[in-house]
Amino acid sequence: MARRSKIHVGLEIGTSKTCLVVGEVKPDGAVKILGIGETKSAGVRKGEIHDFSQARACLKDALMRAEEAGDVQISSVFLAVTGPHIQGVNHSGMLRLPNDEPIVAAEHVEEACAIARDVQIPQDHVYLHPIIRHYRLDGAEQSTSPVGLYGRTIEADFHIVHGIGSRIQNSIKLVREIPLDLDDIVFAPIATAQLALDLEQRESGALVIDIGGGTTDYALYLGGSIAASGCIPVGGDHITNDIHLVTGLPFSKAERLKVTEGNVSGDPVHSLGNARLTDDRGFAEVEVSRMVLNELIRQRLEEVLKLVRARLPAGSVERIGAGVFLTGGTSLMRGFDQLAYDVFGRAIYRPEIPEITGMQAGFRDPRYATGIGLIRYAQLMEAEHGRPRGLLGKWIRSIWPFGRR
Amino acid sequence: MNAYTRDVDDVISPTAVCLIGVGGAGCKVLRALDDTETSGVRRIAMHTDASLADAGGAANLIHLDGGVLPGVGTGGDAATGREAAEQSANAIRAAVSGSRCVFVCAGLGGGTGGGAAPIVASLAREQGAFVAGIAILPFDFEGANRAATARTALDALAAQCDLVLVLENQHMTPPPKAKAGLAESFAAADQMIGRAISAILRIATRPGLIRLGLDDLAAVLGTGSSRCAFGTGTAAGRERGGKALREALACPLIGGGDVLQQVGTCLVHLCVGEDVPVREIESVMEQVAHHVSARARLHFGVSIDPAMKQSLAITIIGSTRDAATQTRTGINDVSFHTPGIDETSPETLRHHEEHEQASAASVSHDDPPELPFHDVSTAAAVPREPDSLPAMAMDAPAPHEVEPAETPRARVKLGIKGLGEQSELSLDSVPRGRFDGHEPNLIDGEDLDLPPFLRLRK
Repeated sequence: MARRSKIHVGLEIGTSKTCLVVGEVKPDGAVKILGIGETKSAGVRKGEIHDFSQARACLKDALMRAEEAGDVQISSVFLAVTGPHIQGVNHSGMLRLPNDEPIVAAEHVEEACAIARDVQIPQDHVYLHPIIRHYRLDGAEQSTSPVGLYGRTIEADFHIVHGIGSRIQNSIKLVREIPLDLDDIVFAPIATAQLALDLEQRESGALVIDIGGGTTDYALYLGGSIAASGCIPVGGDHITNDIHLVTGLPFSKAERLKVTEGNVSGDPVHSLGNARLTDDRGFAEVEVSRMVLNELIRQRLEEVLKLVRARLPAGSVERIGAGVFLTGGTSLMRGFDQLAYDVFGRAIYRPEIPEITGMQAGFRDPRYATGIGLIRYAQLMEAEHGRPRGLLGKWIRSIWPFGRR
Repeated sequence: MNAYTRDVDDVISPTAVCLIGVGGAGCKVLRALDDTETSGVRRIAMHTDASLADAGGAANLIHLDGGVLPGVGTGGDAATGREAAEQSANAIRAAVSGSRCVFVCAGLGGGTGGGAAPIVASLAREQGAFVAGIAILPFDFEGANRAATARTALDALAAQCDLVLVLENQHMTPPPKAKAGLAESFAAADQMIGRAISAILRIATRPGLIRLGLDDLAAVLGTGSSRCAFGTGTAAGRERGGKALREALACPLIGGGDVLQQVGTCLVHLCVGEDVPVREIESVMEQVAHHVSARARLHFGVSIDPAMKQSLAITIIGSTRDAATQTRTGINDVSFHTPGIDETSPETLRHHEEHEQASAASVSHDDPPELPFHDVSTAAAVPREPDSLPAMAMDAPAPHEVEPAETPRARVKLGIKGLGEQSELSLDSVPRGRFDGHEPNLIDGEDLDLPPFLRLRK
C-alpha cells in the first residue's frame, strides 16, 4: 500500500479546558490540523483529575466535538499529562569497555543506557520518558550513537521524566473508559516544546514555559537536547483565586476582571484609576483599583516565573541563547512578556507555528499549543521508531464505516 | 445673609508678599506662575548666571555676583552660590524690605539654588518677614550627588524659614506623563509648583470666613524635610464640590488620595463665592474625611471671594512627617531619609503633635532677627491680635460622622501600602477560596495557593 496520510489525535485534559486536536501527517511530513474539539473542564484541579465522572463527561463532549470538527472517528489518542508530581531528572550511566574490546558495540551502548535509566525514583513513581540527551565517548560529547568507534569509556546522559504511577494510571483509565486507545503518554511541556521550538532554537538553548489554568509546565533545551523539565502547580486559576481572596469578588467576576483588565507589565501607566466591570445594562458592577489588581497578578506571576528559574540547573539561564518561549492561556496576560524579561533577562517570544498547515486563526491560540504539540510529537516518534505498531490498522478501522473494532 | 465684615489687617495684602526665585529652577517657576492668581505680588528673580535670570514678568532681577563669579553659573557648587549671595547681601536686603511675607523658591539640587537660597531666606528673616521656603528636590535620575546637595541645602533652608514646602520633582510628574519627554516632565513639575504657590497665596491673601493663615500652614508643613502632599482643584456647576475634590485628589503630589492616609496634619481650604450653602461645605468635608486618616488633625478654612462666582476651589495640603524630621538639631545635621510613604507610628504622632504645637506657637510676623531658630518664648512675647478669629483646627472627626476609608457604595477600594487601619491578615485563618479543603500546595515552605500579594506582605 502506498504511503498514506496518517491521522493523529492529541488529547489534553487541562485544568481549564479539555481539548482534542486532530491532525493529519502527510506523507511528506507536513502536518495539517483537521479540527479541534474543546470543552470547558470540570473536575480537574492543578492539572490532575479529582472528579472522574465530571472529567469523563467533559472528555466525551470534547471527543464528540473533535470528531465533528475533523470529520473523523477517533479511536486512539496521544495523551498529555501533567501535575506537580511529575519531574524530570538528569542522569548519566557510564560503562567502561572490557580491555579486549576497543570498539564500541551496540550492546555496550545498550548497557550504558540501562545504567543511565536506572535512576532511584520513589517507590510509587513510574517512568514516563527516558530521553537520551547525548552520549560521551571518553568524555567527548557525541550526539549520535558511538557504535563502531574506538573508545575506553562510554557514557549515556538521560533526561528521565517520572511521576506518581497511580495518578498517571487514573488518567489512562479515564481515557480507556471512553473507550479510546492510548498511543502514548507525553509529559505536557515536552509536547509543547515539539511545537514551540525548532532544532536551531534547541541547539542554541531555549526555555518553553506553558502557563495554563492550573499548572505552569516548563522544558529547557540546551545544546539540542532537553536539560530540565517540570511542573509547578500554579496557573491562571490561582490568579482568579487571588483576586477573589483579596477583593472578595465572586470567581466569575474575578475571572472577567483578570481577563479584561489585568496587566502585569509593571508600568505605572497601566495602573491608573479603577478597573470597572459593567453588567448587561451598562451599570458598573464592581470597581477595583488597577494598582491593586495589577500588583496582585504581577506578584503571582512573578513568583511562578522565579520558581521556574530557581528550578533550572545552575547557570543554565545564562546559556539560553534563543530565548524564552511563552505559551498557554495565561501567557495571554497583557505585559507578561515584559515581566518575563524582568525575571529571565532573555529575549521573550511567543512561539511561531510555521510548518503546520490548516491552521485557522483560532488554532494559533497559545492555549492549544500542547494539543498541537502532541501531533508533532506523534510525528517525530513515528519517524524515529517507524510506524507505531498497529496504528495503520487502527486508522483503517477508524474510517471503516461498518462499525468500530 | 448677615453682612460679615473682615478685619483687613488680618489679611496680608498681595503687595506685601514677595516671591523670590533663586537659581535656574526658581526663575523658571516664576515664569510658570499664573499671572491672574498672583497679581500684585512682587516677584524677584535671582541667579548667578545673568543670561538665565530672565524671569518673564518678574519686576526685579538681582544678579548674584558680588565679584566672585564672572557672570556665569556656579557650576553646581553650593559653596560658590552661598558666597555669591553673601556678596550681594545688600541688594537682597533692599529687595525684600517692606515685605510681610517672603516666599523663597529654589531648586536645591543646583549650586545657586542650594547655596544662595538659605542666605536669601536668612536675609529676608532679618528684615522681619515671614519666610516660606519652597524647596524643589531634584528628580531621582539626576544622581546621588545632586540629591545630597539638595538634602544639605534643605536643612540649611529649613533652619531659616518659618515653613518649608518640600516638592519633589520625582513625584510631581503625573503618572500618565511617565512616558513623556524630559522637557514636558519639567514643565509639568514647574506648573505644579506654580499651582502650589498660587494656592498658598490664595490662603494667605484672601479674607476668610473661617480663617486659615500662614500660621496654620506653618503648623501643617513645619520646617521638616518630609514630602508635601498637595492637591488643588476648581470646579463649577452641579456637584462642583465633588468635582473639585476629585481634581484635587488627581494631583500627582497627592497620589490619588492614598498619601492622605499617611498625613498627620492636613489643611483643607475652600474658596467659594458668596452664596455657598452650608450643606455643600458639609458634604465636601464629608468626602474629604473619607480620604484623610481618622487620626489626622484637620485645619479647615473657607474664604469668600466674590470673583469665584459659581465655582468652588479646594486646596488640600498635608505633610507626611517622620521621626527624622523631629530630631533635626541644626544645619549640619543632614538627614537622608526615603521620601516615600512614611508609616505614622503612635510615637511619631505624639512627637509630631508636640512639635506642631511648638511650631504653631512660634509663628510670628515679627520674629527678631537674632533668633534664627524657632523659639516658643518669641511667640509669647509677640501675641497675636486677640480679636482675630482663632484658626479652626478640627480634631479627628468623630467616629459616628465618618467611617474612614469606607464608602457606602459597594466599591472595592484597597490601598497597596500602609493602610494603617487594616489589621494584619493572619495566614492561619485565611480562606483559600477555590482551593479550600485541598492539601496545602507547599513549595519551599510557602503555600502557593495563597495569594503572594498577601503572603509577601509579612
